[in-house]
Amino acid sequence: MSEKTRRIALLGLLTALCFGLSYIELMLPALPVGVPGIKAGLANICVVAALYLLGPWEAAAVNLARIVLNWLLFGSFTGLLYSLAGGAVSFAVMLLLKKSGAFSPVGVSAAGGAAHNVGQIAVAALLTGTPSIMLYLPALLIFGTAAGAVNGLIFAALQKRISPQRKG
Amino acid sequence: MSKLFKRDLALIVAIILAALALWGASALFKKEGESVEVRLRGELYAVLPLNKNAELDVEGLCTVVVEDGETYVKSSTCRNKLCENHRPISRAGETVACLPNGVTVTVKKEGGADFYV
Repeated sequence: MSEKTRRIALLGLLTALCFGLSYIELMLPALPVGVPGIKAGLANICVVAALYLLGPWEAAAVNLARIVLNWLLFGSFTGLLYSLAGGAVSFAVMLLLKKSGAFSPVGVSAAGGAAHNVGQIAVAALLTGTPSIMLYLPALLIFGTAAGAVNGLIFAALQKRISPQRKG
Repeated sequence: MSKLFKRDLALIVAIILAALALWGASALFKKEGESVEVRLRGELYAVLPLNKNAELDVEGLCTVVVEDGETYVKSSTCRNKLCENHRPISRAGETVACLPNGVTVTVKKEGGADFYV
């Protein structure tokens, strides 16, 4: 299989997996604490995987495909705005941290989780005209970081097992 | 790998410390509230006094209750029911949000006559 074919196949596979994980996540019950935005963020495993196994453009493509597919199948327009904001901020932070070379996928994913929540709560404050919604930020940062770290560990474990095909 | 892992850990601890600092700072500045501001998709929908029991239906989307100086969302048409699970709030700046319906319930410092928009 040529290198190009392999990359295209992997990109399609990660996009599909991303979508599958989003669907699984949809069926998980929300933590009954009343704070919106606390979730596992499982689909981000695939974005991190694309970032490490393929590259930044491919990772951005998987991320955008995830957001648009979710919107078309399960979402609302407001939901799309939240996802875009969270996805963009999270992606930018993960890309920068990966480029810095100072962190492993665990740190990159953890910061990405936290950044996702920052982007979402900022949009929520704007859309609802309620700046005090930012008081949720500390709780969101802690849960987002923890969820991101767990996702990073899952990817690190996967990366070890698929290392013969590892890139970058 | 272990050097990276130490940096990862430092990063995670730094984010959590920042979160705790934010939380501590916001807790310090909290005051008892006097009124409840209900917003629907960013627009002011109603302002209710916190010291008077009331039940407000927000366009059939959410039912907001003021009871014994506290306010909470009693019922909502949204899917995940996060707003219904939120504990009652009473201090200025605290918010219960129902993002799917675009409804927020915020306790405000300033009292005000109750009015509906």
